[in-house]
Order: sequence, then C-alpha cells, then structure tokens
Amino acid sequence: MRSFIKFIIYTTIGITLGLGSTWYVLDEGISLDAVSVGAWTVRTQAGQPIADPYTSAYVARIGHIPLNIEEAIYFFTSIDDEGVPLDLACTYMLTGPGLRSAWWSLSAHLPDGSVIDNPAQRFSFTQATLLFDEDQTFRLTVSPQAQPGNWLPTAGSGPFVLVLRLHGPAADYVRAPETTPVPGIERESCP
Amino acid sequence: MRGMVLWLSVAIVLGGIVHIAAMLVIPTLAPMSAFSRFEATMQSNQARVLEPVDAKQMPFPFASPDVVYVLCRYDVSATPVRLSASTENVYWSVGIYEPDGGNYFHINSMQSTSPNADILLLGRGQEADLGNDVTIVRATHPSGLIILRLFMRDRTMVKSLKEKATAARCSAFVPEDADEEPDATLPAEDADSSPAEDVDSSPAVTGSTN
Repeated sequence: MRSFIKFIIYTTIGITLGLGSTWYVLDEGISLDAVSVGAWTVRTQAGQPIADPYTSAYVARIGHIPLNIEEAIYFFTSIDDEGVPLDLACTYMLTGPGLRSAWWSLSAHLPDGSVIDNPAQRFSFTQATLLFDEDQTFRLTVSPQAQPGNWLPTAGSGPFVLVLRLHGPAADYVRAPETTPVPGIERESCP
Repeated sequence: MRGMVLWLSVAIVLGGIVHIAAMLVIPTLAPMSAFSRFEATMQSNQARVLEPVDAKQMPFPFASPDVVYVLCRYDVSATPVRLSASTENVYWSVGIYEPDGGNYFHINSMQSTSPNADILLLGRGQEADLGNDVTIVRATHPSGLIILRLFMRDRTMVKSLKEKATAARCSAFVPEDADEEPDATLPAEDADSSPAEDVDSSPAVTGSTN
C-alpha cells in the first residue's frame, strides 16, 4: 500500500514536471534554432517540414503560419536595443537601411498577434510606403503621439511586438540571418 | 534515502518523457494551430479569401496588414487539386503546408514561369501535365493548406488585390478526357477569416520544395 502511494505521488511529480517545463518553454518562446540579431529574433526553422520540435510547438501555439525561410524571414522583437520590454505608451525610433528582398514590411502587434487599433488606422509600413533619406536609410517613429515623417501609431499601454517580414529575401540573408541589417530600436521617451 | 533518490529519478525521467511527448503532439493538436483553426470552418478544395487585417479583424495571429490571403484546405486523396489566380503585375507567393504547419513547397512570382499563380497538386499515384505554365507539386500528405499571398505596395491596393483574390479558384481537378465530369469549380469564398496541409517534392516541381 505504501509503495502504491509513493508511486502515485512521484508519478504526479513527474507529470507535473513534464507539463510545467513544456508550458515554460512555450511561454518563453524558447527554441533551439533562434538567432538573435540586435533586439530581433528569427526562428530559422519556423515553417520547415522537419523543424526543431520547440519551434514547431511554438509556432502552432501562437497560430502563426510562416513560410519556409527561403521564401520569407520573420524577425520578431518585444524589446528595444537595451533589452527593455517595448511599451505601447513609449516612443521609439527605428533606424536602418533598406533591405534586399522582393517585398518587406514592418508592423506592430499586440502580444496575441492582432494589430494595434489607432485613430490613423495605420498598422504597418512596407518598403514602398516608407520615406527614405538621401543615404537610403529610414527613420520610423513608433509612438502614441503623432510624429512627422514615418510614424507607426500605437495606443494605450502595455507590451507589444514588432514584426519585420522579408519575403523573397536575398540569398545571403537566408544563409546567415544574423547578417541582415535589421533596424535599431531606440527608446526616446516614456511618460 | 536510497529509495527516495530512486523514486525521484523515476519522476524526473517520467517528466522528461511527458515533456518530449507534449512538444511533439502540440503542432498537431494545438487548437490555435493554423490547420486546426481552419479545418473546422472550411470546406476542402475551395478557396477562401481572408478579410484584410485591421483593428477589428485578425485572420490569424501576426498576419500581415499588407497582404491579402487566399486559403484552400486541400484534399488530394481522390483527385488532384488545382489553385489558380490571375495575379499579373502583383508580387505573390504560394505556400503549401502539411497539417502540422510544415511548409513543404513554396514559389513566388519571381520564380514562376507564369505571371499567374497556377498550381496543380497531385496525390499519391496521380499524374497530370498541363504545360509549362502550371506548376506541378507532389503532395506529401493527402490533406493540408495552400496559401496564396498577394502583397500590397500600400493600402490603396486592398480593393484591387481583393478582387484578384476573390476570382481565385481552388478545386478538385479531373482531366478533360476523364470519364467523369469534373467537380464544379467554385469561386473563392469571401469570408471573415480562416487556415492548411502537406507535400513531397515531385521531380516535375517548379520552385522550391523542402
């Protein structure tokens, strides 16, 4: 009888450990193929038929439908260049060069993946809608207050996520995503 | 003491097994996964246009606000499936997915020999040849998702791309010389939202397979 009770107790401990560690890994977005580029992270095996199981589980959990990295590279970030979590109430300056891909865009999302409602109803920029400086770099302000130039509106407060999508990316970005000249993210002000 | 260490070891090993098993089944069973979300709401072999992303509509998490999506939940167990769309002068891509989300085939307008997206997906043992303008793909799984993405330069293109998307067709394909009448080719269903599939590379495939 005593052995049976021990069996129940330690089986419960084991199952709890297994499910708890699974929840932790998914919640933290931990995967074996994650590559950091500045503040951004790209999961190089997202969308691959035979992917790192952690990446496959993470993608399934958030409901994203990524293309293979040869077709599209998705950079995500929820922090700025200093590693501080992005906050909808703050103003950020994104700066970087144009990117070599057939089509690319930059958008802001709530953590559940929806876009951020704002009076301007502007949710993203593509390479065609961004205004570039003479040196072919761009400056994009992400802020709840209206800004001159490229302005991506936010609203409210709390965490948010920036997504940079490169469709038809240059071959060298595919081979080495860490060499992609992703935009820097500098926090300018917070209320 | 020794007994406790043994029991704890068993618990840790069991925890590891549970962890691995859970990670492996989540892509197939997760209710939020693309295939799960669209399986319940989409008929097979029929195109559906997802409403463009805005503050009120999110066809799936992290969908791009600058892309019009056409989805087709394919089933090639009985006949091949053909996805076709008039996509001239637009940058587009087609991705074909297994039910667990694996993207085994992809092609874009810069790789395609035709300005239009035209894909014929073959199941096991099926054969067809429709000429060079139709990309032949061998499915790795009898069911899954085909996703056509039409990319906007800016939001003024929403209307024109939605028209192209609505005219897209996804249907069971029966060769003209077959005895049976082909299934009706239905126009894309314009819906609020919805998702997916699986494939193996075919020697005849154009574009990229994985």
